[in-house]
Amino acid sequence: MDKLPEELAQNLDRSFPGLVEAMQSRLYTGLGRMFPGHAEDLTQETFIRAYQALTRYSAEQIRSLRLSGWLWTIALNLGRSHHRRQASRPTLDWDSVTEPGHQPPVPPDWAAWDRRLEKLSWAQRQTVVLRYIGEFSYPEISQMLDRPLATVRSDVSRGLQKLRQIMEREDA
Amino acid sequence: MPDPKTENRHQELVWPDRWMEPPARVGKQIQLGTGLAEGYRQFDSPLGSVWVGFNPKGVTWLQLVVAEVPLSPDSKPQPKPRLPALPPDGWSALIETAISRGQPGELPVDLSQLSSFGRSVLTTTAHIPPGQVRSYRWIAQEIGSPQAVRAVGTALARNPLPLIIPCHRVVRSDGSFGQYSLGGKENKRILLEQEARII
Repeated sequence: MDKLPEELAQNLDRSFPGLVEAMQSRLYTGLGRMFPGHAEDLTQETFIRAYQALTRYSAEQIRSLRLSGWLWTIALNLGRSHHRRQASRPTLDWDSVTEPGHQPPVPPDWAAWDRRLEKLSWAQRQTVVLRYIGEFSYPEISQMLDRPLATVRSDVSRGLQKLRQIMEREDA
Repeated sequence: MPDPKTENRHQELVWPDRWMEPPARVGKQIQLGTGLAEGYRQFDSPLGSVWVGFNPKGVTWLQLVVAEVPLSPDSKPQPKPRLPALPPDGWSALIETAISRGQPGELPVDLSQLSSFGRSVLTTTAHIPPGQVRSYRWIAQEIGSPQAVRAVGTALARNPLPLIIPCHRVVRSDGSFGQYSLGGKENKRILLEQEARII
């Protein structure tokens, strides 16, 4: 992963599959927790957009990229515009647009987290996923979401608190 | 400052230790979307060397080798493959068989760029066995558009995969050869005579 920006700068076409290989599972897992049922299309669209952008960047620009954060920013923009499209059509809920038959099943350990994350507000859910699946720092999340650092911290903290309560109730 | 208590307590929240793997088709879609796995290679055929183009979904075009690089339909050079152009595992043998037999057989074929009419004309044509011929009218009837004989001719003239989809086995109702897109009528005669000898 450390060598990838340099490799992409030197030979984009040859190195791009390595970027997909290195990033796809984490991205797919995180996107699935934020946008259930849409991890697959969002993951593939993110990489296609990323490739198209990289073909326009200079070698110097590619070298200076922080790839993981950059990819997630593309993914979040795609996810949000998708979210907005859904929100503007209130009669069409998320479940009705996914075709469960075509989706690979979510493994039980992740499915349990989906049930918990569902109960968080959108801001909490998004920041918790970025913090613990994306493994980004607070300043990175703040930059990616263009939200104040303090807000990001409080969203994560409240999200965790809620998750803990949910898990305590599960245990009880 | 983050609340250290909350931060520490997240340790109690045990996340699964493995990321979920996206289905294999995601990688294929990325290759298709970026064009990274499109390529072409030279093969032998009864009419001499041909180029065969492919993407991860299947073979997409075939043309005679007449220049150093293949040409696009508007006669401009095809873009060079971005990666070393090796068809997916096992396809080379399938391409050779498909060319020599004049039928796709097991070879994946991607006709997604064509109209649904064009696709049904070519899919029907693909089933004409070696050594046999059918008329344009027969194809039109088979696809349920008996009036569309002329359109069938146009669709066959635009067949992106001659030899593999045997449009040379479609002739006029009066028995004359009709047109052939891969290098002209003479090639159609060569192919049909050769098949007649073998059968």
